Amino acid sequence: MERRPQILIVEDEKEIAKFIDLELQAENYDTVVSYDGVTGLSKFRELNPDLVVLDLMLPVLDGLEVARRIRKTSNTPIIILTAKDSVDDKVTGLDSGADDYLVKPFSIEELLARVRAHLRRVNPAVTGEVRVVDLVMNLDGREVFRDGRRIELSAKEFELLELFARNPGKVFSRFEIEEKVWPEYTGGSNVVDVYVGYLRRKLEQEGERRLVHTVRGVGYVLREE
Amino acid sequence: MKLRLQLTIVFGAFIAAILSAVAVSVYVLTERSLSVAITDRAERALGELTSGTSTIDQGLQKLPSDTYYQILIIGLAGRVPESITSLRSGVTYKSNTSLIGTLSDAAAQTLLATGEVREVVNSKGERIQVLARLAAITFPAQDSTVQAAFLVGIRASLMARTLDQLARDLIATVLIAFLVFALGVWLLSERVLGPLKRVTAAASKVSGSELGQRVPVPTNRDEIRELGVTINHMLDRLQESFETQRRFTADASHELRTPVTAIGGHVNYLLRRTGPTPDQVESLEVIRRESERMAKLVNDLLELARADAGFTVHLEPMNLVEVVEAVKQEVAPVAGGSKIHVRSSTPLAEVMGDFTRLKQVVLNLVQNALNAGAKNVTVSLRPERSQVHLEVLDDGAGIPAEALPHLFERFFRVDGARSTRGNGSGLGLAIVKWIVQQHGGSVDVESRLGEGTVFTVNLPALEVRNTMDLATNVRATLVENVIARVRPQ
Repeated sequence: MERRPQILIVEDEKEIAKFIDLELQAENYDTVVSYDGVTGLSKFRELNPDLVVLDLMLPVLDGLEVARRIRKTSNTPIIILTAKDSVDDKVTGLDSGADDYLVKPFSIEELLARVRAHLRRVNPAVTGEVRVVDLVMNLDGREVFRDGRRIELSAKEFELLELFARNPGKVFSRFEIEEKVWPEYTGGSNVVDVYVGYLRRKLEQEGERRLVHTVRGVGYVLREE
Repeated sequence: MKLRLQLTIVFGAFIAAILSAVAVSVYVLTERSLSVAITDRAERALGELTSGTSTIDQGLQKLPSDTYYQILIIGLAGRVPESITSLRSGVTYKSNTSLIGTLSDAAAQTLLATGEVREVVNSKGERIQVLARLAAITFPAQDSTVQAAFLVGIRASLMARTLDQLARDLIATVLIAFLVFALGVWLLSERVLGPLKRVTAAASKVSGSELGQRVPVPTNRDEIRELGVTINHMLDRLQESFETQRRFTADASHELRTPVTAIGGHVNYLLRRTGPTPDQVESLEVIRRESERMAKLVNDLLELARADAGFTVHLEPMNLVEVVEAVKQEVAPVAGGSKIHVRSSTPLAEVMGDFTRLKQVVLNLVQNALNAGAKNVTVSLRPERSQVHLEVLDDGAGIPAEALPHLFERFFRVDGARSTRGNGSGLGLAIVKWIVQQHGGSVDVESRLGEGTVFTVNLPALEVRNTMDLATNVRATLVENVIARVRPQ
């Protein structure tokens, strides 16, 4: 029998830990729950689970510290749950080594989708996914990762990137792109150029190499150079 | 009128009155003492002439050089010396001018009788103070005495000149003193009122989001300093209580998040995973709806607490068309029988914005329209040169005119405290307004009862960073379009 993915839940609020536990079990995951940071960390070292759902405000050892210590030795995906949702909190959370960030109150469907996405990322033998260079596009969850970093894209940005990612090396003219991504509008605007600009900014935020290149006089192409 | 001008005018008028009074009395006193001095001189000269200690000629030599005199024989007593046989009554004995001729007879009589000073004008037009006295002229050698009228005249023109000069000097002094004083008051009042003005300016800058501002406190230990210190103390306390209230809202919301998450999570679990009976589903749905509503309220409160803390949004170039499309995607499935239409002539309406927050703006507006019973909600985008206008038009119940001014206030509800309309928190539009303001935009509303409402959000359009680039790219796209259409399939 195939081994079920094991998920460690570290959450001091027992009522919240309980329903996450129930939901994950219902999705056929193997779950372990601990109610404070120190226990959570020792459970992680003992079991080496496939994914960690981690609350930020924990007694004894706070969630950020737990994430940092896990990250020192392991690449296991960490999804942080928190009641704090300012940009600073998100940045600190992600900087500590977490892969994802959900603000309470969150919808359980969203947590389940993120769990699936992150498990797929570590377990590539799953379909519904496009991989090009260091780019991973999860077409079901409409999620994009570059080198493990989750990138938030708008609907049109996602469609445009999908067009490129499904056809790496193929040069698309602006007209072709417009027809495929913006079929409802007739040409004449510079929407394609603007959106390539958006994509580049988001894909290269951490100083990564360029993926979408301009082909002078023709259009754009996704390739590694 | 400004306090400064009032002060200057009042004090100026006051000082001018005092100075004028002083000047007038100085003038009058000088005039009096001058004329007394003149009379004195005349008296002294007459005294010399009539004392009998010296001869008349010696007496005349002692007269000041500018003095007129006339000695008039009035009557002879005793033997008259031969040398003066020519003397008769009414004959001038010695003179350097005719003073008696300038006086009327009656005046001459009074003058002689009383010994008063009289001012007359002589034939040369000079003003002269005339003094007269009766005395005897004795001629010891001849042992005879003659009764004579001694008249002495002193030119008053000197005094008049002195007085004129004095009057001019006094007027000039009064004027200069008045001007200097007024200027002094003007400058001094600036010194006093200036800090007040600065305090006022600083105090008026202190607004809800800028409670951290303080008024300047002058270093002098004066009343203005006291005022500044008092205002600052007041602001400290105000800021403190404001901060306490904000922190309470934020803390309370944070604390509420955990139970709300737990309730929502468990009710979802029961609904989705445990196969409840229809009765149970009905009851569980109520719990789910209410927990969602509570979650929204908690989020809205936090959002506003953040707005009060002076939190700013993170702006980057983005496309409003997508915001609108995203809202339609999200709302359409739960809009029931209502329809959401999106109108945009272009696929691109760029602004500097925060995607998530602008989506919340459109979402709140559309949700409001649906809550107001709209069957059709039209979201249209009109990009213009410097602004992008986003319009949310509905055919709902409309908003009464008297409610419009309060629409963006927190917890304001159109139809009183507990409306039957939807499940809004009463915070949606306050959040809309805050977000739009954070984007440097504005939001307007127009409504007619029974016809519908239109909200217009105006956001500054993204400047075209490189017009040349844009033109080139648009041309390239157009050329491709033409080629693609001409090319046989």
